[in-house]
Amino acid sequence: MKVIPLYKNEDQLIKKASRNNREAQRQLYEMFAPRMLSVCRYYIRDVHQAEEVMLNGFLKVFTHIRSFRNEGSFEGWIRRIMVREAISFARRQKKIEFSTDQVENYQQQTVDAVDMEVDEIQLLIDELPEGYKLVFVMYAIEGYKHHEIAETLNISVGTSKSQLFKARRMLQEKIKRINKVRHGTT
Amino acid sequence: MAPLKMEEEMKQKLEDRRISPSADAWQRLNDRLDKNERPKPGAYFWWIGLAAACIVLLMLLKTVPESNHNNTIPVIVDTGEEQAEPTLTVGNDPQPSAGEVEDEVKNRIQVKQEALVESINRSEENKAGKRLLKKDSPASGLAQSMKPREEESDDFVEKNKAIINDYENLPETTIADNTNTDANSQEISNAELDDLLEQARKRLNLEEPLKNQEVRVRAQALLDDVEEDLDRSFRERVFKTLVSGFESVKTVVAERNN
Repeated sequence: MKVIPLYKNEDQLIKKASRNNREAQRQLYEMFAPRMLSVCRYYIRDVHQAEEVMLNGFLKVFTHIRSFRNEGSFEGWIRRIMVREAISFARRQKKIEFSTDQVENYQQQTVDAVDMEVDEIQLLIDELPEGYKLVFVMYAIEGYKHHEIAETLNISVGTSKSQLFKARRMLQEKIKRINKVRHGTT
Repeated sequence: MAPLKMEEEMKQKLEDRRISPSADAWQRLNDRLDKNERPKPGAYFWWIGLAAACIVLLMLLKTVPESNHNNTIPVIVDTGEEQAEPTLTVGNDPQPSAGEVEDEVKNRIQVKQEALVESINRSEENKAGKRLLKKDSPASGLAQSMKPREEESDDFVEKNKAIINDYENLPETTIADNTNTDANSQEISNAELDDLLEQARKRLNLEEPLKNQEVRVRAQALLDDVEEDLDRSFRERVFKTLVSGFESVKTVVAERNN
């Protein structure tokens, strides 16, 4: 059995997809759709709306696939498109407000590892205010830097840091309550 | 801010998560991709029309400068030379120019005048011949010279009459008073000459419009013919370029569709 390296297969698929080969596009979709839907779900509470955003994202991927220059991973490129689409959707749906209260002391309280399921984690994130959620997901889950977050959301770096701090504080308080309820400890 | 342990665990669990899309998700995406690929008919025809217009414009720009170089429109220039125009007045005898007529008139006048003056002088001398003989000795010579002419006085009068008649026969000529003395004869002759010249000019001016009319008509007809030919050829060229441009656009579209 001949083992074809995945990256070669992916490259070939990308080339074919850039020539509007529908079969190649379908294979790329099937490769990355589940992960990308999960990414969209970070930002959008309703899974059906998240799916719609994902499809819009793939439409842009296949429309502009020729602009992919192989400078990074193809998955990373798709992911960035998905994040932008999700943020645009969130902006259209809700008026995102970023609290301008500056926090003087950013010292965090350490919290023990959370024995929670991924759905519970997602629910915790969903309960955060929209501004807190966006900054927290982009920084803590996606790995964006504060200046990148500030540029994407059109806010200042200080506001980005402030929002992250408040999101963390809120999450920590919730996790403490959950741990207290489950285990009797914080 | 350094990432917290809590956040690391959250990140790891969320990264491992996979959410399967709905069964008809790909079909919906497929439909959107098809819609995206299909060009809008309006835009398609617009691009075709624009391409055709550009081709026609380029061809016109190419042919118009060439036509301007090759087809020089002949310009009739009046050089001011007083020469006959036999090519434009077919059927008429070639007539002398205004200058020639004027010169001829002048010559005739001069000849007649000289003859008249001479005759007048002779008649005067005949009359004054006797008085001069008494006063001046040199006049004797003149008297002697006049003597044989006295015998021919009747002939001189008759000749003068003939000359006068000739003058009268000239159109619109005025006969000066020849009975004036020598002091006024020069002025009279000049005035008479001027009158004759003026009359000759008027006569010529009357004749010129007729000539010019004929010339204008003929020249204009020629110009119209030439312009008609030019327009025809230019029109034909424009039509040819349009047809060829349309054909080439049609071929391009057919190849593109194939």
